Amino acid sequence: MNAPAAAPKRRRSQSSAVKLLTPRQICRGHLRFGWISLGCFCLLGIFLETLHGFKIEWYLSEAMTARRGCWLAAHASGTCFSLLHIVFAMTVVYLTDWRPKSRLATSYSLYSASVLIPAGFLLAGWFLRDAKPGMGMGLVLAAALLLLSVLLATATNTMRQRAAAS
Amino acid sequence: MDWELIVYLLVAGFALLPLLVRLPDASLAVKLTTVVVVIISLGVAILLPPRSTRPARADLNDPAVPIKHLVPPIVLGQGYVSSHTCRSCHPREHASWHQTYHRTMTQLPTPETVLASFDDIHLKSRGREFHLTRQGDQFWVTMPSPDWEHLRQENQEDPLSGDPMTTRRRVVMMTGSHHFQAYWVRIDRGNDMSQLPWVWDIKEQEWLPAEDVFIRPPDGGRRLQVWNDNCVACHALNGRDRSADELFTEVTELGISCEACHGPGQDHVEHYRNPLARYQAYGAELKDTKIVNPAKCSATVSSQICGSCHSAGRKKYFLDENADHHNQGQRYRPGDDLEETLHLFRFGDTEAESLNETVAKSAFWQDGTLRVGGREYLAMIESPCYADASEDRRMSCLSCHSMHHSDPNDQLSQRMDGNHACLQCHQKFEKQIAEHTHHAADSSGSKCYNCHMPHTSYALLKAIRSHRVEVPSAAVSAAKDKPNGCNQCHLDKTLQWTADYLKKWYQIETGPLSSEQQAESATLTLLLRGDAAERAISAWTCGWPAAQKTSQSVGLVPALAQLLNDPYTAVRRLAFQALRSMKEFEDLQFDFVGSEQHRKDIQAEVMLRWERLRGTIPRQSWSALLLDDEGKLQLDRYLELLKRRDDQPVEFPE
Repeated sequence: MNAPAAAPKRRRSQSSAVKLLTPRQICRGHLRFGWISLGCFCLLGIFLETLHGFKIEWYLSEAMTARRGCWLAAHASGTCFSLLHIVFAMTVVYLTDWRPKSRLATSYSLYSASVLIPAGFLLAGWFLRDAKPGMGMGLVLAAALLLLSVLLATATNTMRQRAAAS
Repeated sequence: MDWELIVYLLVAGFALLPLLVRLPDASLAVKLTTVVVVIISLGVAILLPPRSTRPARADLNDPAVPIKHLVPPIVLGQGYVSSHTCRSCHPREHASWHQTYHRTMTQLPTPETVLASFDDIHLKSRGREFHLTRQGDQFWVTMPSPDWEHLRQENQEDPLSGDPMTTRRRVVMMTGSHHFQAYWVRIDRGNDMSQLPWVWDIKEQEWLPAEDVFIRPPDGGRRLQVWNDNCVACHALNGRDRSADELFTEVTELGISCEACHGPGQDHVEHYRNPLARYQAYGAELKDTKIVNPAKCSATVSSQICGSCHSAGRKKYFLDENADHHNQGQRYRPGDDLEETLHLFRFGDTEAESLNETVAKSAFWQDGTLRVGGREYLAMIESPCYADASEDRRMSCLSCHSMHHSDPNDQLSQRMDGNHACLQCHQKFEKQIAEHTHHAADSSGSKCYNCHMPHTSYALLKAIRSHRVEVPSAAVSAAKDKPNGCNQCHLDKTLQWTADYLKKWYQIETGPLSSEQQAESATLTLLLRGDAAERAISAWTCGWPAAQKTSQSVGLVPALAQLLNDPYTAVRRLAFQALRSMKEFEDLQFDFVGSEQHRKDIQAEVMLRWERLRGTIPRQSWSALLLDDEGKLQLDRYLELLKRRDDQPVEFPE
């Protein structure tokens, strides 16, 4: 009767052990994501400049002020997130005392926020509502919470690490 | 299918999935945060109202209906791109146009654009009551049903008779933002809008009955106006009906915007969208054939661009049964020959007289000079500076006015509010202005336009400078009762006095004058025996600061008091304004649409005050101002002139 009950616990434990990434693996993932997304948002910047260059009405007209604002915010936030990934990657290898599960959740939260905030701005600018930003702003709002949790978790563990070191 | 929602959910799912998969292993804080994030994401998707779409038939009384569904929709097309597009390449020009009253000619109501008070205002005119209220950012009027009134008018019945049901309508549009602001409500016919029969006097900050602001025969009833029928042509860009058989107006832009003067901009925009084309154009002297620039057109063409709205006439294709004129809107495009599509109503035009004899005859002085404001092109083309000049030296509207970098008040270009406007061509007078005018160089008598462009036009409760540039003539004044620049300043002088000086200074012969013209103030006689337009313009002149500084306007107070009970409400208002401009009467209270008894009471009060003032009138002016040897009013002569008052109906197409 006991054996079947214990088996799932072991499997789950094995599963977690397999999927928990080391700090170096997490670092490598964030570096890869950071540099690639920096390239992507650089391309977005060039695209936006091209829209200016060719005087594209659906981007430059007065009625599209919200679109310009949103897409500019997408470009700026995306670029900042790219840099944040690189900084996070440098930080995570240093924070050896960070609990693996928490570290991985924070890492995924950062990935999610990095997709949601620029994508939310892009979406809000694409689907305007009466010349105002569209539904995408909801994603920005939600992802801001994720970003906050990432920053708090990282800051907390940075302090904990310093205490451990001392 | 709502693509926004689909993409939104896909993005949210894609971004949150890795986190959600890991959720069972995560700490409580991470779990909580993730749940909140998911709730916010889904909450926004669920709670955000769906994108609004234009209903087939908007409920006119529903405050929830967005205003854009009640007014003519903005639709690009027919080569028009709207001023928003122009701004991205021409921000300075856009900014200078943006501050003009042309832009704000037609606007949607917002707390910023509505200049009138709607704070629980009760108005009554011609037996009809109106209650104006504000509901948040919306402006509402409880009023006699405009649908009922329009129906009565269509059935050739008086809209003011009968008992209409009361309805509540939302103000959906305004016209004007400079002198008056008019308000429009929807009627249940296509997307037609009817004017609220009240206008807001911006300077005086008060509501005035619309029928009483304009010069029109006193017995005129309700004047129902439909924006979509008349105003749309000049007060919006590219206004037209959506289809030939549907009463549904569409516009490219509300107000008078870039393409009203520059023509449709699509070709220009498409050409210069290419950065290479833009850089090629920099520094190139080649004329841009893709768009019209009035500043680079000939004087004739550029003036016609202004004249397409600042004139009066019949569209030549209007009576052509095959012409789909509603669907196509205005056929004239900037750069075209205006008279190919517009039959201009000049002085004595038989067609204009056959359409409305009163209006056609009212619009001109009997010497052929236009006397109604807003149609200045018809006056300007009669000026020698235009008609007698070669094309390269011809005066145009742009000689003095500009839509860019100019004073929004009169759209006068820099330095064009003084003699420089005329000295551009007539340089020889620059150094000898006092010798030419025989007035001090810095006085109002040495301002070219005071003599050559006197205030002999009228619109919107004020006199306006005539745009037919001409030499002052006592002969024309004598024969046609048209005021002249000399007597408009020298209010207490006779026509004979003017004739004598014109002969002495400029060798201009006048010919024999009547005893009245020899002995009595030219302005005074027009105030008493002129037609409604002459009385209105003369009354305004009495309040003109330059005239008050020059002459004894107090001597004209009895005549102005008489006009307080004039059959024309606009004349009463102008007489009151002239009186109030004198410091002795600045506290005068007068309701120009009040009861006859009220008007008579104020007349009596004015005369009582004048009795105390008449001692200040110089003795040499007594005779011309119809005062006897003791300085008392020659009542018999006053009444005699009054009896001769020209009561021919006057109606101004203002």
